[in-house]
Amino acid sequence: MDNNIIVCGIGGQGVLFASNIIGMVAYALKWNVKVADLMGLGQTGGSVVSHIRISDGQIYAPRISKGQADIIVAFEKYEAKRYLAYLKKDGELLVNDYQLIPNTILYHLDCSSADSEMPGNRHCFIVPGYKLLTERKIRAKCLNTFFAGMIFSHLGIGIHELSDILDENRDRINDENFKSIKAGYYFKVNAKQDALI
Amino acid sequence: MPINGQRVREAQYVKRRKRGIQMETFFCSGNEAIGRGAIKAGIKIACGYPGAPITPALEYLINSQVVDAQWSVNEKVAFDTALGVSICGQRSLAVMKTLGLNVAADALTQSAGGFLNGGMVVAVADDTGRDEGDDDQDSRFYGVMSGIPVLEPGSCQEAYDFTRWGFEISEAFGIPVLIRMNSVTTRIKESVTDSTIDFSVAGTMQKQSAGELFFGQKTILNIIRFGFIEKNSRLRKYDIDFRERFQKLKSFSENLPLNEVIPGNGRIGFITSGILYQYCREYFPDAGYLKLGMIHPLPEKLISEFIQGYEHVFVVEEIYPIIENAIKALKFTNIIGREIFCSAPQHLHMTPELIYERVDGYINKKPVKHEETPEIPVRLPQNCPGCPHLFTYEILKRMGVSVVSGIGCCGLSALPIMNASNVVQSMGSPPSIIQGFYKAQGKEQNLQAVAVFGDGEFWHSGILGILDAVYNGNKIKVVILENNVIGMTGGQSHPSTVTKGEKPRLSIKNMCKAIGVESVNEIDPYNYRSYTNLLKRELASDKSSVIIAKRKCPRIYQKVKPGFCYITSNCVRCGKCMLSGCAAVSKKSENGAANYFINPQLCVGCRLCQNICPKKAIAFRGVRLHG
Repeated sequence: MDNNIIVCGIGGQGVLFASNIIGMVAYALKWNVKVADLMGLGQTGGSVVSHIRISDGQIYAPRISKGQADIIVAFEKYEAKRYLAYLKKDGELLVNDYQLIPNTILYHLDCSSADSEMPGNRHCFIVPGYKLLTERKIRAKCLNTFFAGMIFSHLGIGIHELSDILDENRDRINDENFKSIKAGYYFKVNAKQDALI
Repeated sequence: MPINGQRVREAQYVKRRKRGIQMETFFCSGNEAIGRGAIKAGIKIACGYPGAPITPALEYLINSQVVDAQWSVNEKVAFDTALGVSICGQRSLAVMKTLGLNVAADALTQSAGGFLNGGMVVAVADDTGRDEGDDDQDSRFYGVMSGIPVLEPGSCQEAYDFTRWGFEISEAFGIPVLIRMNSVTTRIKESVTDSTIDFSVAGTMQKQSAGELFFGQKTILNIIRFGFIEKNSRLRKYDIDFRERFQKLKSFSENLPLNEVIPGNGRIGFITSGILYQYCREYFPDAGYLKLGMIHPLPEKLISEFIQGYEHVFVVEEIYPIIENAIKALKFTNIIGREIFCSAPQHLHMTPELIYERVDGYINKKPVKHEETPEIPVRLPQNCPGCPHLFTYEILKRMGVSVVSGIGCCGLSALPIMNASNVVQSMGSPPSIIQGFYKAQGKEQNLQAVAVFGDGEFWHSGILGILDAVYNGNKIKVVILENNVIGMTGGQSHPSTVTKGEKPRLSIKNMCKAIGVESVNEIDPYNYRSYTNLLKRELASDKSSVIIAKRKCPRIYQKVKPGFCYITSNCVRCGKCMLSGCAAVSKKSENGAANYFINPQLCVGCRLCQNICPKKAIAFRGVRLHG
């Protein structure tokens, strides 16, 4: 089993916390895991990306090469597009339905005509994250854990197993995050059954 | 519906839990591994100065409360404090980033002259290897120029083990040891096993007794050595032959288990260190490797033996060809390094696929691909919405004053988004540069200029610039942005931070008065009008002046937003609100016209935009929003 996961978003959205939880759970399951937080200047609004490599065998480079990611989770559309080159041909892309135009475009420092239009193939799924959270009465801040829950479902971790691990780490995961992870987990499971994803 | 594989795994998991297997491993980051390694090695004290990316190493030690750990006012102070502990026979750790090591460089280079009584490790992180914002400095040079051993870990496990080794090597040779991290190794997280290591290769240290305690810097010791030493002289105890010590270190490196040979079955071999070893191994699993754990001094015999076994040997290192130059000096012809990887300033940003492309291209004689330019525009760093710095820079921009800024959050003002600073230099330099401006203009002070920097920087070294200007009678104008924390690195404390603990609080205001600044004023920068008037008044006066803009960093301290601003229909689309550099103000094009709007998720209700809008087209809605 090899799984290369990229989590990306904007500073302040909790990318690093999400990747940290995924790494922690994978570690608790005794998988080999390497999490690499490759971020720029860690200011609010900057681009943040985290590479997670999970495997049964030995992992060397913590960095995922281009075209090698099995799944990319993006909390923002421009960021999704930025890291699209890392996705495998049959890889899955989960994008939060939210966009924040890069400030270089807003201030006319970059004249490229980049937009946040997503590729229209069947592996790209736009998840209305903030809307789903509001429906479930969870704060918007828990978007990161909601997507982490979707990753756990993607990795095929059983819900009991997952709950046990999260319970052991209650010092880092509060009740709301716990709820949000579960919501994300079931959202992905149900979407799979309904053949939406 | 759990699938079959899941059921099997869950069953295994339940079994494992029932057996109650004890974990002797932990999951942590490279930074934390350094902290844990230092605790394991039994340090007495850890001190340092925050700086990305190594800040969490000391933060871990402070939060763990197992050892005495503290933030110092600057890196030199941190280094000397740790050195003092080591001279007294205890182990110590100093933590700083690569630019911080420049500040402590005087202390570091001279410390290689004496003989320590306890181990000392300096953990330093180069800002290389990440996706943007490198400073291209290579701290290995400090090891080379001062004859200090340098260890380079490439994973969290190695960070943990090498820190422990660092203390042993330091004690065996009585010299500080540099542990060189980078932006990737500090931030990777993986499992680390706590194992017992056999340190017998390093040997034990001969400690000085309390009565004959002596530690001298290089220059002093050289004077004694060349001037007075005779056999059996009383000066014998001062004779520490650091040249001989370096030779010993060099022969020691030949047997050091940190320098590892991994035999391969191909015709190519790699000599590399740190994270780059992992990158190479990813794509060339069958090649032979010489993984250098200690990159200074180099094990020349080991290297020579390794090279002879392979047809092509690639030396992979980042930015500067330090290892490569040393190996090429041994006169081997089959060494390939900067021929394919280039070196500074044209150096490449190393990634696994880049190494593969270049090496594969060399062996199979393929043309080199050019690096693609990114398709999506970058996001420039920007001050957080509600940052009190934004007020200061907006007012100064409107007044048309030349601004010399500090670094960190202040330095962002130089980027084209805010476009408010003329000069950005290094930690604590603004008051001195302003003094230079004053001197250069002589009697005609035509260019109105002001130094703007943060409170962390004031205590770090900015205070010296003000002191010097006062002492030399130069009337400088300074604005200190006091936000109660060192903000850019995530909110570390400094001497004037108000904390809940018992730490004594120093006052910047009193300090400035005490060193003789003629006019010292404190103001809340959110009071836009009175702040503007104060700045105008102080800049026009002929006294030396310090204005302290006092407001706590909202990112760290503001938990509840008082409300948010929104743009009403009175907007004439002048765009002045956006030019302030607030990240919450944005625009979208509709029917060919740009419509400005304020993102309610980002706005924290500081009302800066309301103050600067010429048409009063921005309204404020007072809602208590949590988070």
